[in-house]
Amino acid sequence: MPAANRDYLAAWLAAETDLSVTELTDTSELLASGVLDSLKIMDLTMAVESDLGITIPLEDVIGENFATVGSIVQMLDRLQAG
Amino acid sequence: MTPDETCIGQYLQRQPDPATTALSWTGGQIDQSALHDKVTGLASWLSDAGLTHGDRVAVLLPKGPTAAAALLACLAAGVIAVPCDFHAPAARTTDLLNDLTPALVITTDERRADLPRTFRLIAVTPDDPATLPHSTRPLGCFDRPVDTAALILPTSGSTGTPKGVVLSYRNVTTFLHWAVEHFALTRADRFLSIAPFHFDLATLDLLGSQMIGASVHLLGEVETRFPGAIAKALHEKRITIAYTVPTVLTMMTTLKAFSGGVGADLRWLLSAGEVLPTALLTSLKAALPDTRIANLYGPTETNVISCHIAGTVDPSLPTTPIGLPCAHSQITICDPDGVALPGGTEGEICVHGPSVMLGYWNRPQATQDARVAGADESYRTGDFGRFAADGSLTFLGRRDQQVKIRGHRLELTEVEAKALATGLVQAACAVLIETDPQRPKLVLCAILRDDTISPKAIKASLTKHLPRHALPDTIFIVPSFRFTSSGKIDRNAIRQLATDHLQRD
Repeated sequence: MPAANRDYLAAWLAAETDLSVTELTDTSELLASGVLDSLKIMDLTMAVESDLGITIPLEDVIGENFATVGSIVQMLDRLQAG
Repeated sequence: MTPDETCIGQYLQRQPDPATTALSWTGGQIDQSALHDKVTGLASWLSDAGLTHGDRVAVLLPKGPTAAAALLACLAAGVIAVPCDFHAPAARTTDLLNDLTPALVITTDERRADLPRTFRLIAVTPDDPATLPHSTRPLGCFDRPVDTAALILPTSGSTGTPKGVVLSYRNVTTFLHWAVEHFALTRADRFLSIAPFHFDLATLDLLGSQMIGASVHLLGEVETRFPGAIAKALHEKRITIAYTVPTVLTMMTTLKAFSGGVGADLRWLLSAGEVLPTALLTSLKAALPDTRIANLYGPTETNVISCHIAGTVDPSLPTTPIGLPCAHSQITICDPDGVALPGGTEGEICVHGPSVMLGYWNRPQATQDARVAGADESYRTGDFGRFAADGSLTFLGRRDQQVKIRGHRLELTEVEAKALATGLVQAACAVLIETDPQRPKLVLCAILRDDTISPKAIKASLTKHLPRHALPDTIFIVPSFRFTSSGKIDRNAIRQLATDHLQRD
């Protein structure tokens, strides 16, 4: 369910970064601002696999898919549906 | 070494080939002839504009072809190139520029607004070298004395302001000549540039590749955070030489980025900048069976001074050895007074040789303190080490508060100085907690100026003054610090406190 992936991501970001759940919107920028650095991206990729059972293939671990909250949720929904 | 033999001398003398790619990046490429025109055109323009030997040119641009052309042009014009961190906070960049007093700052339109107007600024487009100014007057042959300054690389400074490492043409070229010979690099090689241009690793990626007429693919700052993007470049550009830090390699192996033929053309994988854990080396060797792997060692002040080519991995060692001294480095292990110690003894790694920096920009005292008994071309690394019976060197840690975090070098005292400067804390002590060696955590322990201040406010203020890698992961408020008998903050006690605090979280 799409809402579940978004909630999961929001909770993960709140726990692992400086962002708070109330500040988050789908257009919240995560890369240019530096919220997601290389280790955080790796952590998130692994957390999604173990917690949601969604494996993000390497070709999807790229900037376009991690740029905003919305783009990550979109990718997760697509992978889950596929 | 003659001016013709320097990296830029060799670059300028080679007949550029319009059929060979010099630089590529996501979305474009430029051939040798076109790049050569941009480089010599800007170099002539810099001379026409009155810039000369000793003048600094700050290149404050996102990593890309324009920044690459600008740096090469500075060397060709014989002025000092200063690659700056485009993503550093504005206040930090202003401090750096005020210290450098550059004759020219090359930047973007968006950044121009928040820079001091006291400097001459030009705005260009990061992925379009054609936007650089140029002069059609032919550039004369390169005849700068090889011991003049060519490059200043900003590094973390213990007082809170970045410290600029000044390197001569001879310094840079000594390292590059060694690398070309040691790894048998040729114009047929294809380099991947992962590190930002203000890191010393970029001297090989950019200046090394262009010196020998090879091509280099430039990865942008955001791209390097994604194993998928690095893997794509390795594969599509059929990269043969990649030089990076263990943090990036950990990320690559964890996400299995070397699968599906990625890295098949890689001749050499070079690691530097941090300790290379044995477990990581083992994973790399399994993932890249046909690639040779080398562990390079040396601070920015000396560039690479020793190298270990990984053969059979010794699983009993926690980390990879840093290997044998390079031909250009005379390494001694010294006691605190700079006196050489006998073989097999633990002491400070000290270096003499032509790759050792000219000094720190504008810091004569720091330069003098870094020398061994006042000798030019010498450097006390501040690293502890020991020679093994086979002549190879083992790294054993630091003598001061310098640490490595996520591939960056950081003075913990710099974080403390910036924390005090916020005016929100009475006292501060930064420690690196490495309970999980793959995930070091930077913890700032602070005593608040008053109870109304929140850790979040301190973090918000630090964000304006420190680069992102230097921001504490956690700010831990304490009522008081314990002091050692000599009156210093007891860092060991604070490290213990911070470790306990992190475990409770």
